[in-house]
Amino acid sequence: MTEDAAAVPERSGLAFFGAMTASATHEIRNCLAIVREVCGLIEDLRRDPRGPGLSPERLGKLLEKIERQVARADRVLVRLNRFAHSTDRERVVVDVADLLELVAGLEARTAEMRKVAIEVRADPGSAVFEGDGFLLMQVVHLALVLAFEAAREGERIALALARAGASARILVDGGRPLPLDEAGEAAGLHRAAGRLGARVGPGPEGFGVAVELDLSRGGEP
Amino acid sequence: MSGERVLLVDDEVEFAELLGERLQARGMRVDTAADGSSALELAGRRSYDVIILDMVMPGLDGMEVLRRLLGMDPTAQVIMLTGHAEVAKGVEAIKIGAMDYIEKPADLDALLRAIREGSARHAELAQERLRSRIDDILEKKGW
Repeated sequence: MTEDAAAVPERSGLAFFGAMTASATHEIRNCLAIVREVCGLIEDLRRDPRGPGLSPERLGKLLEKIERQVARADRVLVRLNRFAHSTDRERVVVDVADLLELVAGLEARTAEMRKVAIEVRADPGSAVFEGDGFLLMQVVHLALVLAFEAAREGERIALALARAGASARILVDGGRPLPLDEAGEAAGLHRAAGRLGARVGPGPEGFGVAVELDLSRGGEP
Repeated sequence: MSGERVLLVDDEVEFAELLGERLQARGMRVDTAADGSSALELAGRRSYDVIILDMVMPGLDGMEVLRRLLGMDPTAQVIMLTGHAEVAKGVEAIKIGAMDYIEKPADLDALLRAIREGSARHAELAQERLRSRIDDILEKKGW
């Protein structure tokens, strides 16, 4: 562990880390529950002499279910592992589009629970940021939390990236105005963005959240 | 005893289908629902001996569905099923009125025991309710 990573993290950072980890492990547990039921069913079919038995076709279909769940759990683990390593160093060079894809993946289950969808609109390599990658993810997460709260079932939340000179704008927009009052729930977002040197405000036409990110210290694509 | 009527509620459709098939192979009659609203609709149409309910679901969460199910039928026997290793949530569900709390992946033997226990309890409560209603009617008629 580096000296930076050894610093005591803020409680809100820990809460973010906990929320993402809990969500990912819950999904992995669901995968394991399905695998366990497939194994149990195979055993049931194999043992029951009065039942339909276990035909090669049925066995093949059940094995496909296991394969699908293993692949699903693997995708979750890859994301979780990348997320876990984001705390290794306080200063890294990150492709913002790639980071948004990672956050969208981590938040997919939360979105599903709220019956909304996240849609990433970001060109890979269009903006490179040098700084605290974990904190940037937390800022996007906090903006998404506000968007989730405001969204209605079936709606889509865009996670868009636009480059403008030495800055990049991350837009979290579900088509609704969000309460960005610093005294309200958005206080944590303003605080985290401030630590990152980013500015937070309403998106175009007052909808969503726009995070203005200074790329001047970072590498150019 | 077999032939228990079970409602299995889980947003993981494959999980519900697989567990449902295993319960059916043991003589139970199983319906499945993928969310809280569908579960409430099914429970409003038919009486179930036991309802197995996932704690974390899209839309209405398990805890809210539990409250509404018990509001519709205070004798409902609900087993909460969850992927969260959170004892506190299980205790909260039992305080609300769930009969049991089983962690996912569920041990089938433990689940079968809980279903049979719940089913027997449901039958007992239904008998008590029936007796009480008959007593009320007889009392009103002065018999």
